[in-house]
Amino acid sequence: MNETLRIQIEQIAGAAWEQRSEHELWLQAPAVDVRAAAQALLAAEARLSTMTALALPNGETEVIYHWICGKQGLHIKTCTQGNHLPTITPITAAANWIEREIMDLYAVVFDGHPDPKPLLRPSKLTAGYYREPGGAAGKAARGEMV
Amino acid sequence: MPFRIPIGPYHPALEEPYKLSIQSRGEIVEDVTIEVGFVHRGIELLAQRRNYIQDLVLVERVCGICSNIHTLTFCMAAEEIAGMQVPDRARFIRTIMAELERLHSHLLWAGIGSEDIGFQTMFMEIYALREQVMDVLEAISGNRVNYAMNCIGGVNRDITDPEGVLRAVRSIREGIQKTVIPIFTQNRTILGRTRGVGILTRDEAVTYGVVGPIARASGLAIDVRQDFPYAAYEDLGFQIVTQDSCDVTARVVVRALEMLESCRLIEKALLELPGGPIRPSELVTVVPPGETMMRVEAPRGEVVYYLKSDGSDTPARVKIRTPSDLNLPAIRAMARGQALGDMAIIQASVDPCCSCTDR
Repeated sequence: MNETLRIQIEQIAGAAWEQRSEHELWLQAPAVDVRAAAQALLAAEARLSTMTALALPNGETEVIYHWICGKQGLHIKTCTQGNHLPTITPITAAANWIEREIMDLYAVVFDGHPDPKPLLRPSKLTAGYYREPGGAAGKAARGEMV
Repeated sequence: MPFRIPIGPYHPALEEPYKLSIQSRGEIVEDVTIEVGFVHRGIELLAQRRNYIQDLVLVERVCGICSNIHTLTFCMAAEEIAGMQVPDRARFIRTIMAELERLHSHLLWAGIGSEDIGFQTMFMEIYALREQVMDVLEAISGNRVNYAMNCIGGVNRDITDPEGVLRAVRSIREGIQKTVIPIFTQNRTILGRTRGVGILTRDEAVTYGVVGPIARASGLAIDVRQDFPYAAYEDLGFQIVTQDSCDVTARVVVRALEMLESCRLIEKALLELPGGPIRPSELVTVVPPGETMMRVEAPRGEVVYYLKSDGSDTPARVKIRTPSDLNLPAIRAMARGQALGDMAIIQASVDPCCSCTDR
């Protein structure tokens, strides 16, 4: 990633990149403008690899946007507000199914999504059926030995 | 007068379920819509309810074709968080298994693609070759699919007869050179049905974010083995294959040439196979707290795993993104303006995997 893009994304995010390994940069930015960041990254020929959702104990959802720019992985972590985030599908078609999947599994609403119908969710389930703790917290909730 | 043709979810050309609704005017396709989710199993959710050892068995079942890649990526993510070094011999064995898996996947695709255009003889020739690859995989792992080769920190089984594997792979390479490459690059039946068909331009490939042979057939030189080398690819000197005609022919040629590169990598890895252990002496059951994202080049393209650990024996989150998640939607761009009769080979040229997509 070139220096100009690095600074541009930091300005949009209001946070600094953290270099975790040779090829991977992470950025914690709860209030990032995801659309402005997506436009800047696409202009620099980055591609959206995927997005990861994680249910938070306060009912919100952490969403990580995983981008690849050349030989650099860029991971931008943000957080929903009332479980809403703006869609980036009109900016990059690659986000279409990824956002629909997160809507199904974590009940996050991507405002402005052009085609927000279920992708994977069976009609008998309500959205958000992946929202349960994993790891030790999940074991404790299920009454399993931690 | 436009009309609508539903194909699937029980598909005439593919064994996995997905639904394609074609809107056409006469014989020309105007648009398509794609529906998936018919084999959604909730694997990511199950993975955060099971421990790391159980998860290896689980993620191996994300896909029946590229099962090995899923355990490999999962293990690499856990090893990254734990800061573990994998023994050299295990890195080479992982590369050999990954390339054998690519060989059988590409041959399976080539056989199905041939059948889709009515080229039954080619289907039989290719499946005979694929059986040789399956025999090698069985000889190494004991299984034709779901090899259970990877463990956190290394591999479960050694290659005890490298010379035998080398002889088999050389025979497979000769078969590919003698049969697959000439027919896929010169045969009038193949070229007549694939040249100029199902175009996905470079710009469209970027827009849809496609990966793997689909991206490389549209002129994008992206491959995890080159961009983020893992296992033994840096030691073996990987050579990327690209084409720029952006059509079904390009996808055919990319996969055909990639099979030769796979054979070269396997042969070199077997000749240079280091000695030493293949896994840690102690079974790894707990991963320290941390998170990471790991990528591996599966036969269909980049597989991505996000893994978060809270330090227990059970992952806090496992996110799986498979190549077909990104490649399947691009069928829409390939199909517009094409003849109805070409829809089977256009879909097949993507080599879609619904089991992967739905997880």
